[in-house]
Amino acid sequence: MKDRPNNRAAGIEIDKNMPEFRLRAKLAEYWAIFQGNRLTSLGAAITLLFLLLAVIGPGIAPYDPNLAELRDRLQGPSVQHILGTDEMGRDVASRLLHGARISTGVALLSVGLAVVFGVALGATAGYFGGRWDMIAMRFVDVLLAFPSLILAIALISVLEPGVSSLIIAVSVTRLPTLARLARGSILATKEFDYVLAARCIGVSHRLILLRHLLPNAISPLVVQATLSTGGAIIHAATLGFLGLGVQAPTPEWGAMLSRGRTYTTVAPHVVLFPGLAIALFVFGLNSFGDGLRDALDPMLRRLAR
Amino acid sequence: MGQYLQRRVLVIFPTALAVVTLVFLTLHLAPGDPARIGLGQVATSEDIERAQDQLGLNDPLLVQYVRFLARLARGDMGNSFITHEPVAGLILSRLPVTLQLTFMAMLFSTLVGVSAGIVSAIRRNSAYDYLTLTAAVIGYCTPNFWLALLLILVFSVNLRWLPSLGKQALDPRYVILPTLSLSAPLIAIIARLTRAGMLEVINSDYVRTARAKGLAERAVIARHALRNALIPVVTVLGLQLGSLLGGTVVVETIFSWPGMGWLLFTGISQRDYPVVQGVVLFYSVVFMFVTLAVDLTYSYLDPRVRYEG
Repeated sequence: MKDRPNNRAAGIEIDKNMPEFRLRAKLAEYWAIFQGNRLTSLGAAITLLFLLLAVIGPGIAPYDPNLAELRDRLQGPSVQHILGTDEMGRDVASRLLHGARISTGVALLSVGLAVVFGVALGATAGYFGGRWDMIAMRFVDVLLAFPSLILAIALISVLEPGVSSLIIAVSVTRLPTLARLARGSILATKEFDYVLAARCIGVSHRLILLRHLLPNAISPLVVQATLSTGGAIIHAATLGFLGLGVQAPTPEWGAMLSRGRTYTTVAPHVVLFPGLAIALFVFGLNSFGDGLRDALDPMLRRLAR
Repeated sequence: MGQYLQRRVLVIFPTALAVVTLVFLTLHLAPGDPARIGLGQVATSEDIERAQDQLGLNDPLLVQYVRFLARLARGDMGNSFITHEPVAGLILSRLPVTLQLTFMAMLFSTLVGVSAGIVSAIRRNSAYDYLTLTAAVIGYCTPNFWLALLLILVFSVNLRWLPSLGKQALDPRYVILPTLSLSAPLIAIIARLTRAGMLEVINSDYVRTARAKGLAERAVIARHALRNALIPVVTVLGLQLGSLLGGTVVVETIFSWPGMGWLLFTGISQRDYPVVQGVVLFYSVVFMFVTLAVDLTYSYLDPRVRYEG
């Protein structure tokens, strides 16, 4: 009892330095993710490298990705063309670098869309409950009733072919998991006293959701979004490979494989490198995501179910 | 148990109806006039109008929807725009191929994945363990169409051991490469899960008891540890069936297997919407019922599930 004023003083003291403390604590938390886990660090490094290539790739590409030199077609890797040339004599390395921006852009945008709509759907369903929860979750069930690639193929077959259709189709397949996860997180936290307290002082539902509940759900959502991006890259490339995604001559990785496929026998490098790029990027994203999950949220699996 | 079962089974019917409705609506919004696609470029406008009447395309949406449902209930999925064959017949004729491919992939990935996972768990941190884990990571990240092309490159083009495309009934050489490319991600997932599950149970009290009473190590693993370690594997098998079914489209297209996946692929490239609609519906309904079956098996294996919420 006697200590009380002291304590309060200490409390005020801590309050003053809060932002700095918080920042340092957060940084330490993130640093801990990488410490002692080489796979996570490697994954993060690869992910960063690919993101960097998506930004500067087209700038450092040695050739125009659509410049066809038919005399030099299907050449193996050489000094002029480090990864060789494709069936139209275009530089594979340059096409891969330009493709990095397309594949990354498609994956990030579709996951971004899925996060926005999925979280909006799941969070409001979990928060308000009742009939809206019923409707929203049955909708998610219906999306989950399709094998995801089949759903993407069906959607894309009725949309005009092009990048935006591809993004929409891939994003719809990513949405259900994110919506369920957001709903689970909100359900787990909405009964806490601080939410009731916020209600009592008249904070609106919108603010409670955005300021008080969603910040607590951020870590599992970030983890799921990271892992989801790997799947989105594979889906987009698969659709490109089937000729349903980005259309030629745009250098998308899956589409490059699709064209190069005919020349597998004479020029294996044409199929080797684009596939390697996809696999490596997905490996980076998955290892990074797995590490994030282990570090940030051991409960994630339970919530996502 | 009864109540859980009832609820799960009851919920599937409205979901199935919603799936059917969604597919109907989506394909109704599809670009291109079905009558024109069916008749080709040379058709006159009277021909097209007549075809539109015949197909009932001028009726209100609701009427078309009800008619669609009534036909579906009788197993009639309409006729292909291109070949004018009934879609249901086309699907049934392609079904065995896809079933065989999916079944082989499931069997193969379970056998390989579970055994690799067990050995990995028993010899934890050995060179073998690291090798398996690395292979699993690679298998999980590799897109199956790329893997298929690589396998063709190595085994058909360079070594000339296996044929690169086509399917001959009962000739196992044609089955190996497609099965392998379809099952790689699943093998990886199952191996990792089995390893994790085994590691979890292998140090538990009941396994120690089994050892203490003098049971041979082989029996401890096979009869005691494995049973519990495999529960998550069963769930994942059901969930991953979705990716397997999606993968059949790619694998069948690459290896020229005349299955449903290839049917879907050609249907899309020819804008043959009744075929696309039929195959998509078929895939999703099969997937839904298998997911249900897996959930029920799971609740049987793990009683905790039944009592949750």
